Amino acid sequence: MNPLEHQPQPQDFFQTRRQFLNRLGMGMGTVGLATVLPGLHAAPNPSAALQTAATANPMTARKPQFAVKAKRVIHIFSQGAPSHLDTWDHKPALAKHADQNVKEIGGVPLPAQFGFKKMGQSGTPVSEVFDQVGEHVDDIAVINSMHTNIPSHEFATVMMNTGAGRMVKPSMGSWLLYGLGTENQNLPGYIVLGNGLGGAKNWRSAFLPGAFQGALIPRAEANVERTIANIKNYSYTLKEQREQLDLLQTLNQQHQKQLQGEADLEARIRSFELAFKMQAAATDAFDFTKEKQATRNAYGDTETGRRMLTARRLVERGVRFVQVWHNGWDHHTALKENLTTRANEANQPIAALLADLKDRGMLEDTLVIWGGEFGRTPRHDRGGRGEPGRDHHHHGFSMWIAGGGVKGGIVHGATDEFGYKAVKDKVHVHDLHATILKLMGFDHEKLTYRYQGRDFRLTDVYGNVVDNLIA
Amino acid sequence: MRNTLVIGALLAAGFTATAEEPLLPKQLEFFEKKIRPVLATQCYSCHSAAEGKDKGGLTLDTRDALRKGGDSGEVIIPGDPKNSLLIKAMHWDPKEGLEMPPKTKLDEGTVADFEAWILMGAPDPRKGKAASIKKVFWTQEQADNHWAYQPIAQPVPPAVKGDWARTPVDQFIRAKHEAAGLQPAKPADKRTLIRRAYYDLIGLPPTLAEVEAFVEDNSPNAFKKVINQLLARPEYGERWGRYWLDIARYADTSGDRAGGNRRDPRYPYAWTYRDYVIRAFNNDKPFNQFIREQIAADQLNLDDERDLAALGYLTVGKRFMNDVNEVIDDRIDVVGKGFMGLTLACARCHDHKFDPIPTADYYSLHGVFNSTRYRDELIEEIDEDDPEYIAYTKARQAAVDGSREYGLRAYNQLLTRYTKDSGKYLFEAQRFIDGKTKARQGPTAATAAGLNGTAFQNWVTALQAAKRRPNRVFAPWFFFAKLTNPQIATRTPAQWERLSEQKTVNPIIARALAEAQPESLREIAAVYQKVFLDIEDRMDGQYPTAHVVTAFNMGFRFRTAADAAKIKGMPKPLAEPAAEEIRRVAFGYRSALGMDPRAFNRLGGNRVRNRQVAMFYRTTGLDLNHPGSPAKAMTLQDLPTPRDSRIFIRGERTNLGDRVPRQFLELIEGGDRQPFSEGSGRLELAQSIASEDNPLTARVIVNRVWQWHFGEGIVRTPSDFGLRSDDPSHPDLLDWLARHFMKNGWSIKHLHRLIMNSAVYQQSALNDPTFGKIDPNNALLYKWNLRRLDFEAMRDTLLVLGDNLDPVQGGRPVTTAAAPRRTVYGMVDRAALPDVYQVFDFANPDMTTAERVETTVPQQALFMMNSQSVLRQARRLAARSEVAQAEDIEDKVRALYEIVFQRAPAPKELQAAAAFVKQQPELKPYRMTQFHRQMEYARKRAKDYTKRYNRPAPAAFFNNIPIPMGPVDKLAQVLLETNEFLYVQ
Repeated sequence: MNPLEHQPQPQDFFQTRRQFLNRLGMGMGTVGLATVLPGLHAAPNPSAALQTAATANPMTARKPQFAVKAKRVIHIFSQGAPSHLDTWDHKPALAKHADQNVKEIGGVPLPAQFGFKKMGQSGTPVSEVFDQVGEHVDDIAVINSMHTNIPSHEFATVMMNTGAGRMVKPSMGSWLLYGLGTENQNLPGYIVLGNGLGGAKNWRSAFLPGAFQGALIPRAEANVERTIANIKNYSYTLKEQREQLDLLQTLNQQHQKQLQGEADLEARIRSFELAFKMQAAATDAFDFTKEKQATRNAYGDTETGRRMLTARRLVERGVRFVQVWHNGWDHHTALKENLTTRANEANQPIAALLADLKDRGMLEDTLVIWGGEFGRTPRHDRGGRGEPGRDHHHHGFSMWIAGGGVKGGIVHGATDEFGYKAVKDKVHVHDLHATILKLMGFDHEKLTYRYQGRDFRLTDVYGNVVDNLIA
Repeated sequence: MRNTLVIGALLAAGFTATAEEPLLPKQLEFFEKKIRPVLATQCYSCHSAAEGKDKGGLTLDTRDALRKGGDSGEVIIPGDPKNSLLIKAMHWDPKEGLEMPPKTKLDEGTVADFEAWILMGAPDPRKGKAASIKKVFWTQEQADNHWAYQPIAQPVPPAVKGDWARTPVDQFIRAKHEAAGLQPAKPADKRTLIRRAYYDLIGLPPTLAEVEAFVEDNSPNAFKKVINQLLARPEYGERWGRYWLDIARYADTSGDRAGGNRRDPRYPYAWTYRDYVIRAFNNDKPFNQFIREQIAADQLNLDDERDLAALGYLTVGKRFMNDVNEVIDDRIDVVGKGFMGLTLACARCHDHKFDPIPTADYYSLHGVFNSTRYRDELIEEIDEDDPEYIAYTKARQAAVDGSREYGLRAYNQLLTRYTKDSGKYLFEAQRFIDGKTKARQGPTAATAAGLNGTAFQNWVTALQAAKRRPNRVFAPWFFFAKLTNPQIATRTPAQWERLSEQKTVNPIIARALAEAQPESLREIAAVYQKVFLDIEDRMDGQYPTAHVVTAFNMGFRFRTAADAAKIKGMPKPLAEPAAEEIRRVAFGYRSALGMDPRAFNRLGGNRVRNRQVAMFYRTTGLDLNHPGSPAKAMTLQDLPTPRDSRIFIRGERTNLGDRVPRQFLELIEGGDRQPFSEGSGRLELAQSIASEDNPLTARVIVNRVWQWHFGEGIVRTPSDFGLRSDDPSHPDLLDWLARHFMKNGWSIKHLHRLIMNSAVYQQSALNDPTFGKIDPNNALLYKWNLRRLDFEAMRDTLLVLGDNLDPVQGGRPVTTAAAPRRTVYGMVDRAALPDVYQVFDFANPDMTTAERVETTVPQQALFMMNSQSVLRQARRLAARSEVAQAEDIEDKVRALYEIVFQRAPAPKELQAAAAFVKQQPELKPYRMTQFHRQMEYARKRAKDYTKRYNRPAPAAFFNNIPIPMGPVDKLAQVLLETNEFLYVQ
């Protein structure tokens, strides 16, 4: 076979490295504004060119394979498996057969615990618990035919984030950062707000360079020192540190004299300047108290509200991928009460986020994803203590996507009469990933990384783009 | 059904289609109208040769292809729609697990059309052969000619001009220079060269004295001496062993989740493999022996029993939540890539797409590893009198006993709670079974009666089982349950007494009923409760279920009841047969009171289990950390009866193909290979890999050594020598090195000497713009490649310069954040690598790593600028006597340069550095006092925390304490941040 097909070749490397050097021509240690490397995907071997460029210079913004609207992602991860039957997938048949054993679902149906209302111009049915989110339903594409492999929380959670439940694979955010770089060099390009089941497995970069892993910010706190490692120096004032860096650059220039044209040395010089700026920029980005009171009120002064607001501040500053965790959706018992609590925590902040993005004209280029890792059974949970609930279920569940190039106001796919199984236009997690990559400007089969002799991709050997979801 | 008429007509006419007979117009019409459009719109996108899609090996766009079927066999049986896979798939039949088309189920009418069509014999006019789709992207010719699959040649070093070349290695290098019009760079100066050699061989900087001695040594073999000294130092193995640990995807944990009922994910003995590797490099173990030991040490005569730990190469990988096939895949992968540069694992689901490795060969190796089992083996003599050892065994026993005692106590308590109310449960459960409760759902009925739903459900199940298989304990209960309360109340004392005479009634129950003479079913239930409590008393409250589950939580696995009897301390049967009968029936494993473990896990048993399991796995912590814990190796052993594996079609374990013999790769051994015959075949596998006739093994390792010296290999895809690999930049040199290496006893140290004494190694790193255009990647090595310190070398250097590196060798892993040991001894937790490891591009411990990626990101700079550890090391550096005792600032600067860079500062550097120090304000004395006070407070807080929560205090307790940094401390830090510090020329 043609050895040029996949391997990074000197000309690929040279091309990008040369461009890199040119850009640094602005002057030693100058902080380059986020410029977009052109031509990567026009190289003789685009995958290799991307791999070379992204490894040499991980954070630099890169163009996608084709032009799209979406530039950034906010993934609201409702971990624990929210009941699709009480949120987005209305099944009146459950109430109709409430006291019968229904063979198809393996038990007695538990009727939807909340009323549904047709909302928006599109008339999409929305559960009363999400009435505020429902105000934006015309911007939302609800997917009612999701399905995944295994109804086990950890497996499915990691699966949703990385496309593999057991194997070690890079997360969706890492893939996007790899493909696109980031637009703000002073902040991590992939930020995880809040923690969840499976921990770092959900935002790891695995075999992709470490620069593409998510940076975990466990709580939306205004003080950033506790959240980004080494972001603050407790011993020096900024002035003292500046003086140190000035000396450092002088010494580095001396050293550089004998070693002209070593791009790595240039890059490292630059990284100290970036780090210096990052200290202030990060503090600012996470300080939601700088928002107007009205805005803060709109999101609500709750942990979830603060996380959503912080997410907006981050994407506004060019962070490529923000994941917001909202845990606690595993409602085996007392579903009505528990789901109400969770939905109340999320309803206002998510609605505020969508409204805020829209007001700022950012919804059109920000892809918002909402969902958990799987759904819940139409029947009563057999565990059976106290108030009724639903068990784990992976044959059918709901998610929604909005903004950035998404066809709003639609309901895609359907489950059967009882909401047990996706039967129409089924969307597997791999299909969702393929679609998200397409929305971000990538052919999921061509965003690859050569590792140990194999070209890996987010969707492994699976995935079909759901074109109906794309405007 | 709408098609009945048509089919009826067609069948009635006796029309069944065969391949030979021409189709009837009606059949043709049926196919064209009902079948072809559906195939075209719903199926071809994944199953069409014309489209190049053959998911599941199935194409449907010709008659032949449809009849032939796919990986799962035939898809239609003409005349038998019910048993045709195609129809089952269209029905999304859960038994087949196939749902086609996958997105949206076809409507019933369409499926009925297909059924009708198959029933009539599946008449199909489509022509054309079942075209096979190209599945592999290589040709036999390419494979036959691929350089890496050819026997290793015996090239002669080419003649070259001039006197630059010092060794045969140089002749090969120089020849390529000449051909490309390149001139080699000047030799590096001696200070540069010795620094390069130190970092290269031991990963640590030289001292000033060592540099000076070398500079002054004008003998022609001065550098040779340095190399020999370095190769003799134990730090050499720590540096080069770590490279191999990257290949071996070394970690100290299994990668599985901790907590819950899971075993402790830490490997207590992985370190014995790490020490084995370091020792092997230090002893210059012949590499072929090194290979054999790592695959089959258990089957070799070892000189040193500790070498059994070599098997860690196979066993320190991930455990994938005990998924056997993933574990085997991981082992095949690390063997294939690590030793031979073959991506064998790509052949797991299909024949390798890019290399001549059929999937059958993958499952040949699968059989080898599936014929083994894991075991920890002692590799040092135990001194029974050693107080540490005694303390260890005591602590271990205490953990085991504590876990058992806790489990038994808690489980028995839990169960007894429901025995206390057993009458009520019995009564209500019976009412529910008889349909007398209002609620129709068990849990609701329980709630209504104020009982626990789970315990209630367990009673219902137990009673139903007792009804199906009658026993003497509940037989009278069922009898009375059928009566009304007045019927019970009117029974005479004599009637009650007569119960004892009945053979179908347990005598104790009979006696108790006779004594109580109950007047209602509820009162009978109360009598049962009294009996149960009495029996519970007689069995000392020891429930068999509690014992079984407690043992299970401690790793005891059993298949039969006889196994359960082997559990230590299992309660004895009661002496009185009648009492024993009640104990067995009502208190046994999975009984009404003994409960099903799943039920009482829900009743809080989970919490007990998690705590008990955690207590039990304290043993892992002791095995790992206790100084008296004897060293063990993580070994594999062959099963007594090795077994061949069957191919998993498409990698699915439920989809089995042919059984394949355990044997080596056809690619290497050729068509006349023999299956393995000794045990699992691991030793034979090892010998085939470590063979001089294997075209890959020697090439792969000499290329790795070359890469670890120069930063890039002769082949730049070091773990993939297959058809997609890069061509070697110097193919003859590669073969010459491989031959030379084997001839010299597979000695790695010999290779080091050869390479480092060559002129190509001793070039300077200076760029030449003209040559840079000719060879932008320096593939032809016309100069030295600038090398960045990897994470280990960087951290170790910080410790050396701060003069606090603890030089202890080997042993149990340490927390690098706390212990100033060399980084190679740090605990590698593959599930939670510390941030700093990730930020500095540490090897991914989940898969074999041939080359670390090198990124430059601001987080690295933040670490150098702000982390407490760097600030502390800078202070230590500035506090070293050479610096502290220097009188004026210029001398302090000189001293710092000599320690950090082993050279004097250039005038400009001296001037800039001195000016910086003079400009910085002196440290106010109060800062020191304040610092000490804050540290003291934090230490106290941390101590309290540890006492209270039994775990180390978070680093945050100390992280925000301002470390007082004086002017010289600040300069020291700047020097640690420089490019000169991090990049070795």
